[in-house]
Amino acid sequence: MSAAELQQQFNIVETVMAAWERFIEAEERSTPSNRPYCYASGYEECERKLVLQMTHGDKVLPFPTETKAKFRRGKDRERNTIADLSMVGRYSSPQFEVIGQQKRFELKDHKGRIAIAGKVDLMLDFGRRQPQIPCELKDFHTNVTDRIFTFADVLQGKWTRKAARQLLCYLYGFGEPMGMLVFTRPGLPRLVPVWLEEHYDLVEGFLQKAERALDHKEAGTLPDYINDPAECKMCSFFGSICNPPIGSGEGAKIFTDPEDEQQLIRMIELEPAADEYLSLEKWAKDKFRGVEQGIAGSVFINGKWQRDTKYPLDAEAKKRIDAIKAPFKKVEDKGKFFLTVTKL
Amino acid sequence: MNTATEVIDPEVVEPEIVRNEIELRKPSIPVSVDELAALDEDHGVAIVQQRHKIVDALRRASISLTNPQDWLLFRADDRITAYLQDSGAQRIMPLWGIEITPKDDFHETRIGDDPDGDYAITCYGDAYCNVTNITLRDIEGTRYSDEDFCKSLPPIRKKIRVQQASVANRNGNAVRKLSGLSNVAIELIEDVWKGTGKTIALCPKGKGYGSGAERQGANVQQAADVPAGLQPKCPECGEVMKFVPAGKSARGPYDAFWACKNRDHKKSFKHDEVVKEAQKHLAYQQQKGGTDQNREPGMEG
Repeated sequence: MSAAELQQQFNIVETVMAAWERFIEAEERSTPSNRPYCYASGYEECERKLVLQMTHGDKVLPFPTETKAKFRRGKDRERNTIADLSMVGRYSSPQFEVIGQQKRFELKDHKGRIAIAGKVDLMLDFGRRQPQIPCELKDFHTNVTDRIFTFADVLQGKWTRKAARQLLCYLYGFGEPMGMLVFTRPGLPRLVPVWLEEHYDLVEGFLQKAERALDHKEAGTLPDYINDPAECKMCSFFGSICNPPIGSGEGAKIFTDPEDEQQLIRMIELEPAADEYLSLEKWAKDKFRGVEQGIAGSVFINGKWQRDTKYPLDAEAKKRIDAIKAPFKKVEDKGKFFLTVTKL
Repeated sequence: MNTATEVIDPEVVEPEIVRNEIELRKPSIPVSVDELAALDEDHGVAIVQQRHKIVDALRRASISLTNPQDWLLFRADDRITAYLQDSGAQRIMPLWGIEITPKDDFHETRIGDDPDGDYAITCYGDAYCNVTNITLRDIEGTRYSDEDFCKSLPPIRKKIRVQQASVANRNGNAVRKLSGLSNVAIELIEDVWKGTGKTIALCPKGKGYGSGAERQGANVQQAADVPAGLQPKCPECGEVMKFVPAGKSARGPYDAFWACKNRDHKKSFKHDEVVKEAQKHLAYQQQKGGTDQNREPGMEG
């Protein structure tokens, strides 16, 4: 039977894809349930969501099959990385062993209740009388991990900030001063050191939030809305159990001065000419570079050499400069402003 | 000597309310017709025109922010209008500065007598537009438990999903009403999208565009494409075949075809080929003059 004949009997691609989806659903089955406390991996800015996870977690919609497939791939990558780490330990000086995989810990609040609980991925044991280094492995999209170099970068990311607090909770729970985040990548992983002492406030903040969430759970109440539409949009409880008022800002600013409109329209009219000018200018500078005096038809060309200072750096020099710059790095959410104007 | 203080009646001067005419052009500034009429010359008319221009520009800007999949096309006779779906409404919400305040709880209405059967969920809210200063009260959003997006979910989660969908519907209704973008002529959308690469041809099609398969791109096919008397006959029993419209099976979408009413007779003809043959026959008849009602397609000469 030929492939075309087989295709006539049933759609090959659709059949295989449907089977794959059933496989993922069967292998990655999970039943949402109410959490008895906060999970170390489940830090949320919204306190209300923390409470709802404890009281209405069983009503959360299951993840779509596509998302479950991504989780599966992430878990596979993490398993591979752990296997690699065991080998890496032999090449290290000093050598280390991978121990304590999925070791559980609990953080209790002032009332003795378990407020936060979790399991550490693994610990690196550098031998007798040496501290053990808790490690948390994470598999994010390369677009996310390629921008991570420091713990500050981890804290800034919407998806990665949970991992930041998760490891800090482990350090606090195990009484270890230092840990490591391991971000898997297509190439070498990105390793980020984490020091507990510098970020006690974050752990304390999470613990206090968890304690308040437990208080609300026991009282049958809910905290106020977070007043952040971006957070609400991502929440699985939004629009059903949690129905906050929705705001979308002040709306478009209306400029009624007719001169503003005239200037902008003129700007749009001139844009093609500006592009053409820049293109011709580049051509002229390339073609007539070095011509100090020249005539082209009715045009006089007049060039002049000027002193210029350059720094032809090699890769090693660039690396050293980047290392010097790194501690001074400051990221501003509203640092750059790009403007485009369009005639409607 | 008269020592009494002379009483002077003060002149009562009405305070002149000076309104910046440039500010009055903003749709968000409340102004009455009387106030506009009291302005010099045709300034009042100019202000109304300017307000209309601003709202029109906002609508055009809204359309420019949307994508083809944000619209659903409806056809009635020759008129085609586009309905802004909830996804598109979400996109343009920040432009209009719309705020929505939910009201009451969800209302559940059973469909039919079965207490475990399907239901509708409705939610309400008030909406306010910061740009036009308009408030709409008791905007409604309703969705049903028998819709495709939720019918396969277990009961508790199905209810959550329908609730969320009703909220999205309510928010979409609020945005559509406040922006005036409920039903939009496709000519306007095409005009705004000119030169952007977006096109109406990529918009999903709704009512008035034929069967589900046809809405996904198949040509509209119907039995009337083939004149009576030229409809194909079954080679086994000689009966006139039945027209089967385009549709979708487990193997995928299929075009319309003609098949015998007797399912044991397996021979079928593709509709496009039948139409082609019928047209050839009619053309031939026109050349010859007259028609042959008993001929079968494909038997010229």
